[in-house]
Amino acid sequence: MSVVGNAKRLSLSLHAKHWPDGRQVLGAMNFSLAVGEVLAISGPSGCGKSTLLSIVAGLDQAFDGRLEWSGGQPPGLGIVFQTPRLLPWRTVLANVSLGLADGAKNTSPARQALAEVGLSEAADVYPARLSLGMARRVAFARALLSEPDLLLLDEAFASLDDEAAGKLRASVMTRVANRRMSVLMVTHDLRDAEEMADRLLVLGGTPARVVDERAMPTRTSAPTLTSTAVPTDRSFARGSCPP
Amino acid sequence: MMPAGLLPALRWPRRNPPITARTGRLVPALSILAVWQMLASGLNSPRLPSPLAVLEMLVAETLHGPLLHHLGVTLLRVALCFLLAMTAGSALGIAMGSSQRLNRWLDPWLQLFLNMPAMVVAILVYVWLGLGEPAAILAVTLSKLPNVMVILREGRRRHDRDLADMARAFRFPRKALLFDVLIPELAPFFLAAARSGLSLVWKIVLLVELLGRSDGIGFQLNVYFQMFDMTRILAYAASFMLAIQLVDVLLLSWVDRHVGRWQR
Repeated sequence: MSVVGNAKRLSLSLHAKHWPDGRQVLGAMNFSLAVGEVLAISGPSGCGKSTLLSIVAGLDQAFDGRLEWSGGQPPGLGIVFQTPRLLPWRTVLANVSLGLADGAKNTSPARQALAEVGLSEAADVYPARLSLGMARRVAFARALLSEPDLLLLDEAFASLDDEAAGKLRASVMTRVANRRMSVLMVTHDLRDAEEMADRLLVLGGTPARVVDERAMPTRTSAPTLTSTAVPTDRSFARGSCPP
Repeated sequence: MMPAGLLPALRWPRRNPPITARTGRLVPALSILAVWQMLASGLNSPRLPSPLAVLEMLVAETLHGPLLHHLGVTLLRVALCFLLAMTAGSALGIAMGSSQRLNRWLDPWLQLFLNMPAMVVAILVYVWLGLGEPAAILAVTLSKLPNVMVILREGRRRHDRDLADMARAFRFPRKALLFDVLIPELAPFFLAAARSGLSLVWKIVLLVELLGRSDGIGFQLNVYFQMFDMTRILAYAASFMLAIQLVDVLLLSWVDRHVGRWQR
């Protein structure tokens, strides 16, 4: 594995990813993600989508290939895992603010993030008191609080009701539009891809490879978005990254 | 190896037991006193003084005798050995749980000390280092150490990789990793080690005092054993058991509730 770099954009050239027992889970694939682009990855369960996300997140470095960041450094990263992964012994507010350097002293950004996901009143409770959907919203607040350049979503809208999922999609897309945040999302739900993504990669086979890549219809039609949330520069949104 | 049946006990206890449960604890204590009183009355022998006689002796030794001095000395030894064993045992246990290589190196030593009776450790240390205070402290610490190591090693092995990955992904600073992830995750194991440690350490302290010290409750028990003074033996033993019980109820139980307050 090697990591090289340029700014707020990644490109992954993967030759193979093996499990410790020698089984190959991911085959050769290449993709890149532009600044402000939303890329969705779909495919059958267990095909390695989350593993791919772990590689991009830097959590799994045991792969054959190259992960390149423009600017040389990995960008500010936010991630919503498939399970919320909250610290059970910290309050909701502390969980949200833990990623910030001064989160313990200045709690107002964390409170704002909780308000954005509709959980202001849950700030002082422990995660054990939350439903799965609420915990997932807390995980969203935590991921969005640091205003990341790259947001990774792993089945992040699962177990959310339509209204909550719609609000969260809108929050994400507002940042994509306003801050040119890039999003790499793993999803089973094509509706997520249709409403948010510029491109969709479909994985399949064993080991998994990209079996289909398609540009998604323009997301201006997404019902949960406001007009300000729609990015105007779409030149990169139909395939390869800009130079 | 973790003794079978230990891990389920590591779950957090229920907080704030109901009033009936609290008062329910009194019943066994009172029944023990009742049986003791009946046996003492029935035997009517200096071999088994009545609870009241022991209580009177306890008060007299506290107010006019050397009980408080010896109790203080023993409690100090208990505190020192407890802290040393918890600190070194936690560090070694966590390191062994984190590194398979280190575990392979240290596990035979751990097994050796785990299966060595405290009395043998005490005798060996006294023979090699002499009948001094350092030897007494070392003997007790060495006897308790393996127990802490086993519990903390198991705790480290059970750590949640998902949470560790989350902390890495969000680039938690080192301090947050330690105080917000690692230590809280190990807290039930620290407490289990502390609970079992306290009960083990004070028993071993009495043993090493009996074998090779000239003060402390263990030393006094030996003296009164030579004199066959059962009333004093029971009074000194009771004083120490009460002190340890107080530490458990006032300190460890409070820590238990405080650290486990996040549970539903």
